[in-house]
Amino acid sequence: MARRGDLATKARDGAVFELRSGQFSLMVLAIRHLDLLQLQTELSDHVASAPALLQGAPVVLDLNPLSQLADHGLLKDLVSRVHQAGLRVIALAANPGVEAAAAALGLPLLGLDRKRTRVIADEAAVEATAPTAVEIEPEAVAPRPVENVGLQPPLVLPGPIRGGQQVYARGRDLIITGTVSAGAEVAADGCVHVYGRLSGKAMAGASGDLRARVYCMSFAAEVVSIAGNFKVFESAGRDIAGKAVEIFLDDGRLEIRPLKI
Amino acid sequence: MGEIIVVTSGKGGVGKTTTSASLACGFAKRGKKTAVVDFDIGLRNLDLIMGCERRVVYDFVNVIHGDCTLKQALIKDKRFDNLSVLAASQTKDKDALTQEGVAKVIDDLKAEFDIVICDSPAGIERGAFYAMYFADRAVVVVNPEVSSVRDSDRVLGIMSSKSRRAEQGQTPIKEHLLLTRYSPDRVEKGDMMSIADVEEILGVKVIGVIPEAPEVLSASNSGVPVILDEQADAGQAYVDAVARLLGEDRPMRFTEPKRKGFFQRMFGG
Repeated sequence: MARRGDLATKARDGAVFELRSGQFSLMVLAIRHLDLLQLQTELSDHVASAPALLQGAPVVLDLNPLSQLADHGLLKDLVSRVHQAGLRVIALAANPGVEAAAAALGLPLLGLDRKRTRVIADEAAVEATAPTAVEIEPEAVAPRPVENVGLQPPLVLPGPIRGGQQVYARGRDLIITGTVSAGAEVAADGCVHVYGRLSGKAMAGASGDLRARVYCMSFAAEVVSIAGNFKVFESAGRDIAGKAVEIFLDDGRLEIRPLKI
Repeated sequence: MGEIIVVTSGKGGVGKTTTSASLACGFAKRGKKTAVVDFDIGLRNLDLIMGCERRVVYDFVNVIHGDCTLKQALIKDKRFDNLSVLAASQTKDKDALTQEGVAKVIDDLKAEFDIVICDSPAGIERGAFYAMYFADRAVVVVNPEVSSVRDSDRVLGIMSSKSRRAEQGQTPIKEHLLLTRYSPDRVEKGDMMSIADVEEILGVKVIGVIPEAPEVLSASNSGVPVILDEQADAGQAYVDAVARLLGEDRPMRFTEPKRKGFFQRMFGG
């Protein structure tokens, strides 16, 4: 007979499910004023300006600045307007007084550390603590493309990006006009361009785009990753060290090619 | 209004306090009304290097807590009457510093002095954070070796993103590097990073190069900042650095290996 301890530690081979912990980066929609009509209009416009990023995107609804939300009907209306605007409310940020309303709508409550959220349009260099959530606010609308062809303007930052700093360009390319120090991390859902020395880590195609590429003027990177295919450079080969290079995926293999300029 | 200069490095033992003390004396000697503040709460050292350790009655934390006035806590230097020291507390820890408390002290010092030097503790925690938060200029002390350079890079990054100037969108903190413990002989042999190497990695200009010298240690132990030792290369190098911080143009000295004389070459030494 197996003892209890053995049972508890036994691997669940062949089990139907497995419980694992996971971490997700979610957008937080913080409501500032309770003007439902205006909210729906502005939010619809906002989603239309970046459909690739926002259409159908899951968001956590944060009602913190509002105090008058004891009313279930009002909350229900609010959630349905957010849905109509194209976002999907998947949970509420925990606030005193919304438990009953959330339960009535069948939405879970999530704990939210508001100090660690940041405005989504302001993706400047962020210090080492990775943000756990991103906040969209109607006032901080990203510049809208002249013609809506789904093009996101790149995130352009001057260097240097120093050790310990992290930069992430969500849904677009990242352009660094200076150097990226050792120990710094630069990532983008699109391509990463570094017009200086790249000594840190660079990640292109962070959401899985296999076509994303990394470019730099002087290669000294520690790690390069494209769509999760990464390569560690304990020491860069002589043919690429300090050279201008292009890094891309060729049939799932990370290829590095000196740029002929 | 005075100027706030933080002396910082990230890494410990590179010469922050030695530099703070020497720069403070150098500025005072050049006629600037100068205060130097020890932010290393709990591990105070600046008073020793300045040679005023027997005269610390009140400290930085006392001022923040309102136990005394700033004036009472400032210790007048015996060599320069335009130089004052604000010692760190030896009994408290860095949690005794509050943003409002430090801001008040800094503002008061700024109103009273031409130059306020903030001697940062090692690390990137509270004490180091407040030392740099209010700064207008930064002197990043770096030894020519990889771990010191990496830590300096990290500190420069924090200053560019977390300081008051960064938060309020003002012109960024003006950054300078001060290379200490530099040994031209070892650089020539390839054992040590050169000035150019460090400047290239950090992307910041060097404002002074202090050669590795035995006088630095003996100056620290005797409570006389090495800048006051006019015979020592290190002292003269600090005098040059102060002049450059004041906007003067001076050529770098003590950065080439010393050519040995005929007898030394013949008989070794």
